[in-house]
Amino acid sequence: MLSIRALSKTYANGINALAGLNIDIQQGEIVAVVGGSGCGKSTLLRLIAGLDLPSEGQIRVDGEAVTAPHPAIGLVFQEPRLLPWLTVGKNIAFGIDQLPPDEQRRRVAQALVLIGLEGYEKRLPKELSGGQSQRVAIARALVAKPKVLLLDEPFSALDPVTRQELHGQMIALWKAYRPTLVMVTHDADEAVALADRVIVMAPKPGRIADEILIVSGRPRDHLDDSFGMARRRVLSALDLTMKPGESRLNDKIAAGAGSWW
Amino acid sequence: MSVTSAKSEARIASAEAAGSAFRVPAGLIGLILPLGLAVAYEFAVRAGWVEGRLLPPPSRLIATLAALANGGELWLHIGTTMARVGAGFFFGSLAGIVLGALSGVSLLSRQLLDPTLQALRAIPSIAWVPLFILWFGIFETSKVVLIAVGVFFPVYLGVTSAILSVDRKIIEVGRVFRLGRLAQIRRILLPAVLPSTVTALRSGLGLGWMFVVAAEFMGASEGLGYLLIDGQQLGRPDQIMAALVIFASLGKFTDAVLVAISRPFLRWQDTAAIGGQPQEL
Repeated sequence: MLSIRALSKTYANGINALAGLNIDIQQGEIVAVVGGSGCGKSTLLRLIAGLDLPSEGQIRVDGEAVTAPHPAIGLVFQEPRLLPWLTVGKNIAFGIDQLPPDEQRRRVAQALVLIGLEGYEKRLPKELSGGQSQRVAIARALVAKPKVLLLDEPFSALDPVTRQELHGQMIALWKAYRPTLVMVTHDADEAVALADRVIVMAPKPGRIADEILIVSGRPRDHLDDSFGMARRRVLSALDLTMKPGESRLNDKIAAGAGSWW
Repeated sequence: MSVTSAKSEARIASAEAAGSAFRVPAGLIGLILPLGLAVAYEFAVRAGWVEGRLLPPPSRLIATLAALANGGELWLHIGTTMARVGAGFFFGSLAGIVLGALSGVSLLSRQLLDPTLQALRAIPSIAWVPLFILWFGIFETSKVVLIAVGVFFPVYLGVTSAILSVDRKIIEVGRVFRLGRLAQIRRILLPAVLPSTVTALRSGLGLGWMFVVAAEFMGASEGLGYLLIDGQQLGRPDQIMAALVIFASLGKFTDAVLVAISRPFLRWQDTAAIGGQPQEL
């Protein structure tokens, strides 16, 4: 379980990126964080990943405080960030080189099957497409079997068709490894398609504006009524965060605390 | 159906065969210009259109080279010069890599070292010659030191800037996987700076060849630079040209060796040159 308490981050230049965030995320839950630019969603992810330190508050994973990159927490960046001099197989094994070679090989082989890149083990990153590279990056994070996997707009650079494909694969990977997923996205569709819960953030300072539970099972049909309703709800919450008028927003926060259907 | 497809296959095959018959291996294209000029000049000298005394024709050049080789002198000169370049390149690049790495990795050492080294770099390296002769005498030491100085600066600069330009995003990948400082250097920094380091070593080697001539001009009794001076004093342009040809060949050869050694480690690069052959852009 991932628990975030009174988390604040003020940068050296005085920008208040996050103010007093409280989030609890159950093991195996998929949470999407959406929000306009400057609402601190990437900051939140970097803090959970231990890449930056919070100004105030605490992040705990299974009771352990996170103050530096933690073995139970993996991160997939917006770009694949593969190491160009390593083959696909060695890139995937990058974070598990302390394991015995047999175990490394087993995990890499399994991951390659799950991301649909069997036979690509010896290829170099320069031979991969954008979608393939990002799948390798996700596999690299997952073979270390983190309890929490953070994804920072992982599909935003891909074309819509590839993105759809990767959504399906992401769910398959999640079923195989069962990590907690925390995914930052600016795409309401993507959030509703994947998440159990959508956290909508508001900017200046970054804070939670709304939480939307999505109860329908998987796979989800984009044309389904409940899908459309959930998406509209996310979009209207996002809309509210863009407008001034604090009081209305706060009402909304109070009203939207629980699930509404 | 099968007949027509067999026919068309045969046509394709014969077309390919015809195409390959006219295709010149890429490496040979570069030979056309120098060989063509050499043959034309040889012909012009033999026909008596040009005198060919100050610029000897290829046949005389080859005869001079053969005479030098037969006398055994040539190998002595080549060996001496190679040894000087080798030693100078070794010490110069070693110092360049070590100090370049220091200044690239640590801000403090960069602030400490870089201004001084940049100031020293502003001195034209040949200007060191009188001092080096006073300090190290006129024999091997002063020559090797001069070559090492020439090699040092491009290597130092190349390594420093290579380290400074390593993508922060890739270093962050190392942080996420909790690599220690040493592992970060071994698994991310070293492979990332290798391509620019090879480039820096190549320009260092080029300068090494330049400085060996300067070093051998300042008083040597053997070496290719001596062969040049000797040719000048004896009024033998063929001997000078022979030395020039050997310099060109050795420079190209040592550079090719450096590239060949580094190639297996650089296969991953995603650049315009594919398989060592630059593609048309």
